[in-house]
Amino acid sequence: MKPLFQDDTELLNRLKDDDRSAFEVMYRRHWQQLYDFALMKTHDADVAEEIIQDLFVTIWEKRESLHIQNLRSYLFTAVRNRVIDHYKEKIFAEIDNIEPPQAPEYSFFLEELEATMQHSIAKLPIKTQRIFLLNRFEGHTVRQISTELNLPERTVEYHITQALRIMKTLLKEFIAPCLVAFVSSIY
Amino acid sequence: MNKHHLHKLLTRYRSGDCTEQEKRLVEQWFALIDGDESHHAYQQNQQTEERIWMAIQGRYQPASSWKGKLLPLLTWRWAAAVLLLITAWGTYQFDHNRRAGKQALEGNITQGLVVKTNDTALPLLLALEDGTEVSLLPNSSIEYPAKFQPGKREVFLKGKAFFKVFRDPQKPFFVYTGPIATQVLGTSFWIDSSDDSSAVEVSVVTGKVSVFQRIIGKNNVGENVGNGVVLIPNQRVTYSGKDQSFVTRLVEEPVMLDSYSGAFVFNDAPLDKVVDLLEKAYGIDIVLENDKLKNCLFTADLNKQPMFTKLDLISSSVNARYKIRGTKILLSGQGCPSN
Repeated sequence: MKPLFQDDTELLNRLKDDDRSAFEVMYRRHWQQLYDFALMKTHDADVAEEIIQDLFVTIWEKRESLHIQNLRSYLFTAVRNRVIDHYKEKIFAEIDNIEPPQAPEYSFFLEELEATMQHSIAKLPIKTQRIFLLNRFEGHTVRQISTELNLPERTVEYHITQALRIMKTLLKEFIAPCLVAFVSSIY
Repeated sequence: MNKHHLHKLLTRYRSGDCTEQEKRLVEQWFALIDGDESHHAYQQNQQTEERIWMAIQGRYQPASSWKGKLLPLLTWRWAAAVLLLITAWGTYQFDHNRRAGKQALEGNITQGLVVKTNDTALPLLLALEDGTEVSLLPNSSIEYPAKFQPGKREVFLKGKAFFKVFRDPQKPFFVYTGPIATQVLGTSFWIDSSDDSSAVEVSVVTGKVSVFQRIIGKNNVGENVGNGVVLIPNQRVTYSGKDQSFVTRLVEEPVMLDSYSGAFVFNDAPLDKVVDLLEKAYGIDIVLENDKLKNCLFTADLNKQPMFTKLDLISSSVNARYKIRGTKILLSGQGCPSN
């Protein structure tokens, strides 16, 4: 049984009516998963906290103009965008060469990234590759994959972990600039 | 060089002005930046929750949007969330309620009882004088005083309703449903009923609830207490009108206590440690039938599973079985040799 007051759709309606308690319920219901997600992606508790704080402040500020169909996916997308912004700023701060890259170089970079990505995926053992693609690039959950491929969830998790490890090593050049501390702490 | 390009790539992605290829690459890149040590290292606690929440509100202090109501919000908590469900109780019982209710409130109430009936197909939201909110479900009625008498808050319900009871220790909150009274002692709980025409069920999520038989016909409803039980989280009680008995059991899907914030990741953990953690997280007693079970080692990540799935996994990995005995869980099996 779900508390009737806490249905996301109703929370959103009540939020539009300036209902602070609905806002609090929304925060308390979702903060943990969003925070864990932000932390997993940023590896920085302060940054993760700031992201969650900013997100909810923005929601309250814009409550009258928000049109949210699915609150959960809205929140996760918002956190993802903020994580990307965080790296954008971080990488920018680390750029020592002020000369902007030339356009041909950039498209070469894209090709290289794409090729390395594909090359890395191709290097994964076939089963690991399949599970990894389903999970990381097609958004299937561990549970879904476990059902689809008729494998224990623990096995699926193992393949994903392995794949991430291999991919990160192979793609170090592209991932490392923003994750130096993190990557070196693992390997 | 890479940094420049990566920055440009992310900037283009966030501006929305990017090609399909760039979009795909950013999404793939994003999928790879996780820590691959498990997320469980990132266990959170209440302090973080409160700290962020305070910060969110703090950002609002100067703004007029909180209209000076900021302070109450900081300390404000619902005392209870209650679902009352006694659809099966017929008119007779409700009339009984009404009589009892009026009797109870007689002399103390100057503004009389408010009667609300929900004839619509949607829940009807009501606000009581003390800040308590009620969502009255279709085909349900509720009676409550426009102003509560001093010392206690009493409402009378027929049908189904969801209550969020405002915390006020000076004025206990009572909900009367047929022959049963439920008193809010702690923070949050549910009341439910079966389809059986004389059964009422109460289950507790957090906090404490007292459920007891009413002795109707005396002057003061709240204090004439017959048999009763006090429920703690993840327990439920079924009252059977037929033999006027209370049977206490576990709820169908126990939920973790709010106060618990630990992880459920075990790496060769002795079973008694695992069981200990489960007991703490759900506030449920787990009894090991055989001491040798303590020697068994358990390895798994149980963070996301519901409690009974956790138990299934634990049991099957140590070749044991569990049974629910009232409000306890009994784990039985051969156990493992000591190391």
